[in-house]
Amino acid sequence: MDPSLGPSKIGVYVCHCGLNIAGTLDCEALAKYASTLPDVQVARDYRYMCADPGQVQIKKDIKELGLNRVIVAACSPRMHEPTFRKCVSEAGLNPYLFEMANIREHCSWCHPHAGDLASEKAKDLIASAVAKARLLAPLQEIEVGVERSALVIGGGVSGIQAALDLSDMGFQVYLVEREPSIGGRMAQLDKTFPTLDCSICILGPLMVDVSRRNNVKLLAYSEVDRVDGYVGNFRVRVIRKPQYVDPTKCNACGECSKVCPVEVPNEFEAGLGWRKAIYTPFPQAVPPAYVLDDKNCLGLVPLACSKCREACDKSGAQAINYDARPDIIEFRVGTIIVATGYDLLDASEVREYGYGVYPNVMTCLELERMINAAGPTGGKVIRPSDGKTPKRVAFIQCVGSRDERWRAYCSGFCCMYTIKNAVLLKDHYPDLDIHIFYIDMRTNFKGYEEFYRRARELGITFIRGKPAEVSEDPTTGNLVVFSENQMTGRTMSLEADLVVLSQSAVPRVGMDKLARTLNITTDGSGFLLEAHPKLKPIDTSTSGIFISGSAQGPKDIPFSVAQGSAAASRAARILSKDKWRIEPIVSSISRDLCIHGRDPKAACQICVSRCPFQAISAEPGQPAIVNPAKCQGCGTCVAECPHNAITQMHFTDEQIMSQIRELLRSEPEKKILAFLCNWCSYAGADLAGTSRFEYPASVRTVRTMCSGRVDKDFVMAGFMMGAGMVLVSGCRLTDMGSDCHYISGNTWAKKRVETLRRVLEGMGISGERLRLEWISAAEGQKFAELIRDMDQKLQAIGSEKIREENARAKPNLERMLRRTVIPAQIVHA
Amino acid sequence: MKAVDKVRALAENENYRKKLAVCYQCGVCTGGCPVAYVKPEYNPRRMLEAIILGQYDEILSSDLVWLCTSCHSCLERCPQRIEVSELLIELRNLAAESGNIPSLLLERAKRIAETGQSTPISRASVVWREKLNLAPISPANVEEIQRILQATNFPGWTERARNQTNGRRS
Repeated sequence: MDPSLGPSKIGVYVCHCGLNIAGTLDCEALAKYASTLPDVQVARDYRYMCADPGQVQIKKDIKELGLNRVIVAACSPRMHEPTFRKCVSEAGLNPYLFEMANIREHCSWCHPHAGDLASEKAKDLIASAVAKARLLAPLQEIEVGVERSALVIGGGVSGIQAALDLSDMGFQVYLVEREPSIGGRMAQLDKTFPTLDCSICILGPLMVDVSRRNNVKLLAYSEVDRVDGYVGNFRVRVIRKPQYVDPTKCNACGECSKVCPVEVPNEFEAGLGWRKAIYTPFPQAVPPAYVLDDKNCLGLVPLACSKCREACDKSGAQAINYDARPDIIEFRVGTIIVATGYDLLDASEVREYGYGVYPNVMTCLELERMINAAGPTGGKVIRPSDGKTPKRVAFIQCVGSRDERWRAYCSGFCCMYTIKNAVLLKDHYPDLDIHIFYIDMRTNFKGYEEFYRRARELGITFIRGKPAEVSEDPTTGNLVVFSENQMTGRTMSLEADLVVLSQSAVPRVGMDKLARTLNITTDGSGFLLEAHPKLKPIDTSTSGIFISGSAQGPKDIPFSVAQGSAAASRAARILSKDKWRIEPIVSSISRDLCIHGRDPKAACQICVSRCPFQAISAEPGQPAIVNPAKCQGCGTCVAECPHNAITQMHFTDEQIMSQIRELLRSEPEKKILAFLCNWCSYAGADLAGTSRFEYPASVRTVRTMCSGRVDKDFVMAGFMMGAGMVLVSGCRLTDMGSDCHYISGNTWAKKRVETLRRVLEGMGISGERLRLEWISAAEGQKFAELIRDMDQKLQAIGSEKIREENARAKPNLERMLRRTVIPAQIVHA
Repeated sequence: MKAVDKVRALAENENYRKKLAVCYQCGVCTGGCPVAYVKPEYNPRRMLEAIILGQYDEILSSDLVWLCTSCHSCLERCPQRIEVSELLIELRNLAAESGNIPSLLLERAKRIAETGQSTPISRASVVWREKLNLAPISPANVEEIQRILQATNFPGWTERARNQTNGRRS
């Protein structure tokens, strides 16, 4: 018989963690206390449970004493849960029958002087872990098959690198690019810093290589329209825009372009030159075929002009077909990499510098195209107003970057590309006088500082001072730059005949739409959000989807290339397996309780709409069903279901209620019952402990994966059991957006708590006793301050008033809870 | 409280300080300041740095704080949204409390406190207005004005400043 079924046989192990825990708490006494709890077969204390001897002891006890539940009271589960799960599974026990009590980060480290109060808290945390463990069920990791292919969105240098690496590893790659040609921003550059390599010369071969691979399908002039599925099994729908030119017949002779009567600003030339409605973006374009831009063409339906087709037919290629339609291409992949790059801020927004008003103020990208020998001026740098060669050029850095009025962040590559452009200009025009106005020069990678030195050696003048204004002499078109020169401490006005602005890099147009399509999140600045800023810069919170290059944040070429390879590597971790394992803390819907199963006319679908991962579907007349491979385990659906039909594995209502009961067993009116989300608030509380911020020991924590899981029943049960205050805390939710690991769990938590607070006030419980806060994983200080504040307010209200209010509300709470919760779980002993 | 202590209290108040301490000395305030172009010693960036570094005496003893024209170019351009011109006006108030106020401004302030007007109405202008059939200038409601000055703590320093025989000449 499976020993995990049948009566619980619990082993509790209290770790000293050297003096980290033992210095404050009496571990021997805690173990003794644990041994008095029902169903505990053995309780031990040891110096380092995670070390070999500790683990060996656990395995020995499992085998010899037939333990079927193991508790380790030690550090945070975010630290060692995987370690001990592995340990118990090696001894033959299901790893999900293991629970941790956090008596280090949440007790010994943050309550070093609390004496008995710290001990009491440690005991409560252990009892809570034991109570939950009794109700744990063995779970099997879910295995899904893996499609051996990858989608790379974005054909810039980062996406190309990812595609090449994956192709080398033997995986099928679909490379989707929005523009007619791959190459991205790097194709627009002239030379690259710090080596002054010709950009297209080093990129071109990579572009050709990726297009010639047998296992890479290049879909240019295409966009990802829809993505369904989950890790290992994504279903992708791509729409290829009609090109009107058959790439197999087009030989890029260019006769069509010559006769086309339409001219529009050339996007590739940063608007400096013109292109025709039928065009190829640049000579080294891959794929090389021409494209007819139907938005600017004189008209296809009805046909207004057909000069290009006539020219093409005459040349013999006969490649143009006006009847082309968008192509829908569908395929399956195992992983997705997003490498869609960046755009630049519209510099005319920063009005003090006159871009868009004064002709001789230009942007860095425009200058880049001008210097480029294949650009609109054949490599000659001229003033836009009169075509003359400039004698003095002023560069202005940080236009819109590092600026609370536009973009608070630093765009990272502008210092370097300005130095590069200045060095190139000096090389082409040795007599040119160049001034660079900066706040700081950021030159922090290999060869960068040396390049900066080289620029100064060449006589390029660097002036520390952010210009306040650029004004123009309309008769000459010359500009005057007004700035302080901090070297002299005096103001200066510099007359220049050309001004170049380094404006902020911003997220690509359409980034938010793509993020929604893929169900990944963007950060506060609109760039794609990584799963962890330090340790998971390539993963997203959605399993199987990775980000790389400037889509994740502005970065230079080596960094983008490195991230492309990194993304390929992260993707290959999944693609190289026959089966991919998913953590089974998923939700599950009862066919009997779901209203859709009981009433064919039901129109509930609340769980379907709450799920940010589209993991729940409800066919008419059928109970709703969860796809366990797509479910990420937030538990929001569980809390939102009005029929209590959903449960979450490893975080069931009963398990959490049992924890609440233990935590509020003694003097509940003096306690703050805190529900903390795993990814942010619990981590923030851990950080408070790690940083040794002291706060009152009156708080008792329950961990959920997401604040969205915190059922209103939990809060009501807490007050019903006499809690002084209840705290619900999750990832940050502000006007700028949500940091929620599960995208929208915190939004639902907010609505729920605010509604509940009004209901509780109606029952007589003061609103300030239910707090909703957002604590991020980096806000240890904030967590400590929050608890100090809550404890202070708790004491100000006073135990008597709290008991009074709770007593008044109790009958109502009991009545409401009886409807939804198994009564046995909430009756006091 | 001495004026220098008031400056300290202002600059070291946690909330206020946070708004100032983000200055990264870019110099756009000085770069756009019309006074700085005329008088090189006047440098808003340096003054802000002095406040951040706690050099309050220097700020209060010099008469530079009185040169700000309140054009607010600095405030509008500051990439860290620091209200530089507002800070200077605040410092001006505190400087005045320690007697650092140009005599011209002091006299004008006294006149406002006593007559409700910053410039006296000359007899010639009265005569001319009659000749041109213009309505006479109604006298200021001194009581109302003094109540406003009272409510905004104006008399606090004019009293003290009144007791000094001269303000600083500027």
